[in-house]
Amino acid sequence: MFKNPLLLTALTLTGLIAIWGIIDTAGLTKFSSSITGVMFTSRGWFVMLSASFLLILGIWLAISPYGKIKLGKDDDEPEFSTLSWLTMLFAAGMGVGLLFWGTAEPLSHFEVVREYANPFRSAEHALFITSFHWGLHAWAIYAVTGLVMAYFSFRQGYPNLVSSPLKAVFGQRTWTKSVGWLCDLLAIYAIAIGIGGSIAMGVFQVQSGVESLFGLDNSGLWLAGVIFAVLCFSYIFPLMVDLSKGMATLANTAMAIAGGLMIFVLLTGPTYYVMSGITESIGDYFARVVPHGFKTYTFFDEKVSTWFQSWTLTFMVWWFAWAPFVGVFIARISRGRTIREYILGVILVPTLFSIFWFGVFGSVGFYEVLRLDASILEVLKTNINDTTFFVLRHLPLSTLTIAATVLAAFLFVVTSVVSASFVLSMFATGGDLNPSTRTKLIWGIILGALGLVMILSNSIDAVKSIIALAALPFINIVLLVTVCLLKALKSEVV
Amino acid sequence: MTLEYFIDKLLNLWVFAFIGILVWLYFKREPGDNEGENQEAVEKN
Repeated sequence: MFKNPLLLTALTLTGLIAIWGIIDTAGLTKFSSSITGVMFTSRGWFVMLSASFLLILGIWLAISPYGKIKLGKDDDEPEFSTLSWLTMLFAAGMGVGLLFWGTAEPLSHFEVVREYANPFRSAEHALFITSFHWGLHAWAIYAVTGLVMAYFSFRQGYPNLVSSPLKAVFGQRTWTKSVGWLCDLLAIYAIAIGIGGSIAMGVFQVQSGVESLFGLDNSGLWLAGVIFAVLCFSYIFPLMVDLSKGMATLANTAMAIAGGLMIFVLLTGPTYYVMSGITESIGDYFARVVPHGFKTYTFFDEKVSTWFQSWTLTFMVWWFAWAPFVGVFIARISRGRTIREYILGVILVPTLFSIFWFGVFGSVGFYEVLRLDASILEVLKTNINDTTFFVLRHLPLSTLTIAATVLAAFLFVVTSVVSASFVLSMFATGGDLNPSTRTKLIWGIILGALGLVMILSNSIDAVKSIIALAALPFINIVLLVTVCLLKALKSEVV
Repeated sequence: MTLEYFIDKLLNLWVFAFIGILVWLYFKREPGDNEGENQEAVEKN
């Protein structure tokens, strides 16, 4: 293991970030915020253009004759039924973020937008922006990255690595080897930091749920520490034994709980209001999504620019950070499907689910603000982690639903860490599909340490900026491997 | 302010150069690049 320079460099780099963060959390947070601030100001246009380019490219690939190409040999058949394929896709791509941001995100946008428009128009726009962040653009980033991985590994027989497309298209040259090495390293780095953020978000969510269940008031870092310890204990065991089927069951359970929760809120909340909100959101989304993909809010004031950077740009780079991890997973479960089937499944179906999800949780939040009292906005300002639970507390069977949310958040994080440790070990060992337990354990510990750093920052904004810092370089890599795919497709007979 | 502008120019120049490299890589001819097109032409003939 210690003769592998990529693995050693990756472990050292991520380990150093973790140590820096634990020793000087405020310093790391300040550093990442200032760098991402500069990068977002200068390159915001490039981030938006890249995301829109990937969406347009994905749609073009699906409708072009290349759509008929199979991700695998021509006689390969899909391994999973379409329904379980779609469920697994969604669980991998969004996970704990859905539970965390369901109500909090639309209301956060509402707070800003209402300073520029009337409250009713602001609610519409807030819902649209949220769907935009979790919709077609996010899934296009995942879909194209996963497509590149699936094409080169299943159709051309290369290892499932980010560097494989380069070597496949441009051959084993000095520059492809060194750039490829850097691509693998940055992919590992982006995944590790991204999962660290996911751990922190999951811990914040579970902490808030436990506080709500047991009536604890502002428990501070001690409860977060206990939850973090339980979480580490829960994912270390699956890393030592092969529990791939068990992990799939846990991920599906978490997804089923989330789906059940959404239906419960729809039926026990103001159903007509929620359904009307969703209908409006669907229309609004599809009417405005493409032009909005090019929107950079250049001619607005400083407040709007900051809001755009800390939400839209952060989310977009966030999807890029997760793209190698989710891409590998999506690729693995999509073998035997055609490019058309793959693109339509990966981009369209989860987007519709996201619109529905945020339509339900967002509309319930807006009902509180616009029809009842606006106390939820106070919760949003003082303890954003509690927003989802605030909504649940106002509906029947709140103890049960809060416990279910806590369980789902916990399961999402455990399954993400276990899968990420596997993917990181695979990347760091040149595509070995059976990495050693020791390598997986080391990654598990590093991911835990990175998660701890972000928990210590005790701020979701700090988590967002640390992830953005790791993800920014990866945008270039996604575009580079996409060019490799387009070049390789030219050689296909369609 | 001047330093900020300078950094901004550098970052953007880097992006322009990167886009240029991507376009160049896409059109750069590699051995076996036209296999598909050639095979298609043979099939048509």
